Amino acid sequence: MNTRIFDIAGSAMRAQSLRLNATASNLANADSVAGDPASVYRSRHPVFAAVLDGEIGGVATRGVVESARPAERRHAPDHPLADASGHVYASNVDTVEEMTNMMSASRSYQSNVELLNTARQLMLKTLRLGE
Amino acid sequence: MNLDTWLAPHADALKLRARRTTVIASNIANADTPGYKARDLAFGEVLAAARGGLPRLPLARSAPNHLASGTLGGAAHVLYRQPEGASLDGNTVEKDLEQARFAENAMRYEASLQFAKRRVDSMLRILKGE
Repeated sequence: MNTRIFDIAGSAMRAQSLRLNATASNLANADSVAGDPASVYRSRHPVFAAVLDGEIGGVATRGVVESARPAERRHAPDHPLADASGHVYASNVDTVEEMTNMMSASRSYQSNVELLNTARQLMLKTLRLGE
Repeated sequence: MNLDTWLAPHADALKLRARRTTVIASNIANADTPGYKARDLAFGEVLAAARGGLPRLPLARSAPNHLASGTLGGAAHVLYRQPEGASLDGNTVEKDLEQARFAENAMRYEASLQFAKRRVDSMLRILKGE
């Protein structure tokens, strides 16, 4: 059995854990506000791409993109960060989207762990062949 | 008795099962990659070719940079999966099905391993003359 399976499953686990990290950062900043729309926190998501070598391959992260959805403008004249017109800008994180993202990422991570375990067991059994 | 032919069917099956394991593993690893197309090994066809059951016609190559037609378990036998429903981002991995196939493939790998083990055991018994 080829040890490339460890690279493949490992790359997927790395990618999914980056996705989990991005989700954690988005959820933590879901209620962040800023005084102008340019500096407010924007939800960010990793972009995955397959790294194929022949017909098999793992997954790589091609960077993290920020969501272009407009920040929410709230009228809060008492807020210390409010601009001249009395508005603050809330981050554009969609918590429902982030929660589904989190579940999907953790499930994918789990399936790759399972994969790794099975492959490892098969290899160990193969090594013991003929004992 | 030739040791190669004694173990050959199971050794071939093990090789192909191991290869299919990595192909399915890369499907599962890329379950969330946009545009990734799931693949699989045409197992029956490859094994038949390996055992000389099906005559395979080699493709003629008229230039050195033409791709070679498939050797045992080569790229020619790795086909794209037809998904039940297409997903919006162009990914054709059906994760639950792939996991089921992975489990099935792992079990068949173990079965081949057991068969090979039996062969080795009986060979040892013959050598010991018990």
